[in-house]
Amino acid sequence: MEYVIETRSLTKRFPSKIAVNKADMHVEKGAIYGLIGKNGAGKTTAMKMILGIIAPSAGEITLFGTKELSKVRKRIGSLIEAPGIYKNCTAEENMKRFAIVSGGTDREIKELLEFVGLGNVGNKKAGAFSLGMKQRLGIAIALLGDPELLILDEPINGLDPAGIKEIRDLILKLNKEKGVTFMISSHLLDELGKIATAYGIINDGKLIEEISAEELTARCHDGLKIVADDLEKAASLLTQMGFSDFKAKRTSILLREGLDRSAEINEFLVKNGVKVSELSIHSNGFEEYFIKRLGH
Amino acid sequence: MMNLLRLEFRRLFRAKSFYICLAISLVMIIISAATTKMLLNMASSEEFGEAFGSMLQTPTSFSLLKSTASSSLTMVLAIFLSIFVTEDYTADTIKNIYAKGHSRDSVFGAKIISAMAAGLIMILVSALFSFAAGKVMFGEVGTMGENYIGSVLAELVILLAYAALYFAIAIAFKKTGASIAVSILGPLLVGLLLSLGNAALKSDKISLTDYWLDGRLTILTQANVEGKEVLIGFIIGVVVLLVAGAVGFVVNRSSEQ
Repeated sequence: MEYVIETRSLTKRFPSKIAVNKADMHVEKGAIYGLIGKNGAGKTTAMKMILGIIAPSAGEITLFGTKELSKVRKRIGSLIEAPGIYKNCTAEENMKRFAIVSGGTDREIKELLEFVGLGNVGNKKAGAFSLGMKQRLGIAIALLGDPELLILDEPINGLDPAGIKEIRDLILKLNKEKGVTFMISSHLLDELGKIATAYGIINDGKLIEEISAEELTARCHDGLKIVADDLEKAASLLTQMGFSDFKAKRTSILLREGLDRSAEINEFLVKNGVKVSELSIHSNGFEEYFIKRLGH
Repeated sequence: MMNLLRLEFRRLFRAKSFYICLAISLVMIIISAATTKMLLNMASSEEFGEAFGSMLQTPTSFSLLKSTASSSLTMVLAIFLSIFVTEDYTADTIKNIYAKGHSRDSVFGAKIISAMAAGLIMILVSALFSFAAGKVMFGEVGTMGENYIGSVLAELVILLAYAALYFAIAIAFKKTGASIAVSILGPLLVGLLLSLGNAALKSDKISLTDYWLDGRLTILTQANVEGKEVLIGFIIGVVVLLVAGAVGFVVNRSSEQ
């Protein structure tokens, strides 16, 4: 397994609290890794340590397979918290300044500004931009120098629905076409659910779980939903089949076992005169799963 | 490091505050020279007695060049360097730089070089402008005293020491307002404490304020400065410059951002 980010016992202690506590993170090359947690859980602190903005108190960070972090951090683009921009400069001047440390030609700067929808802002100073425009500029700055890894902290904050879709499409495009790896934190779990291929769940500084999107989908399945004309008879037939963990509701039965025997269940019910109008996998939303994992 | 220097100098030469502060410094020089000229004109009139007239001397370009240091230049330096150095911290753009793998030490190095260069430009432009103003307003180039060049160079070192001090304060506070306030009031407070020390010492031979930047500048701007005083000026300037640089370096290393 090739990891772009790997941390071992990564820890950050502040005088008043332990923000990140012995986190072992693994971000595979080409993944879109969603870092999830409540406010103050340690997401931003973990990202800042990975980027070298703050120093870890303990633990190790490996980026692109090496511990010589200053050499490989050039290959990372980032947007952490509010975008860091020179407020009394235009978008173009901001890009030109950061291109000095990140790389990028004038043509690339123009293309990136066009791409994030800031191609026509002219001489307007970045300080006068709306929150969404500042966020777009922050993303354009993060994209300077063709990064192989993008670390984005709440990248869709302040964006309107169209802007959110554009950023989502951009992430998917960069991931699929250029193989860019992403680590993204977001409170909008549904949005993250549309793109993430893996998740890290962090709570009170501890990384409590790393899980792939497929695994997560499977874990969110909590049973078979059976809608039939005679629910009483259907319940009795399920008992005959040896099932006991089910709950009859007003219009359906939720069977919490036998997820892999749906065809057999359907055949048995139909053979015994029960008309089955729906037999589907019942899922809890991602949100519910995360809330459960975060102990609420 | 080269890229960081390029970034810092781009910031410097595109900073409006740099040109505004420089312009203010030059305007102050003109006002100061014009005031002197008016006083000289008044002194030559009959209303004022000879006693008053003899107190005033016609400034020369050389004497004005020296007096640049005692004008409001230090305050202008304090304001500009606070704005310039803290910008990356108040705008939080510093994180974009650290995130690209640049160490705190190299960022500090680029910042102190550009800040000192900015200070040097302001000092030299102000000094040369003073010289030119002297020629235009009074027509006298004047003569250099025995230790003239030495004292001008010592003034330059002391002004650079001020710049290093303001830089260290800006690096430590990282907020523009706090940095300006401490840069202006801090050295004044040191001067006051030394004056208090003088009063406590009750000595005719030793004046503690002469060993602080402000007091030493006053000595160096006088017409005929002894070689010994010039040397002390150099030593004080170099010591403060090095100590301020070292303190800034340590503070920058130990701070999270």
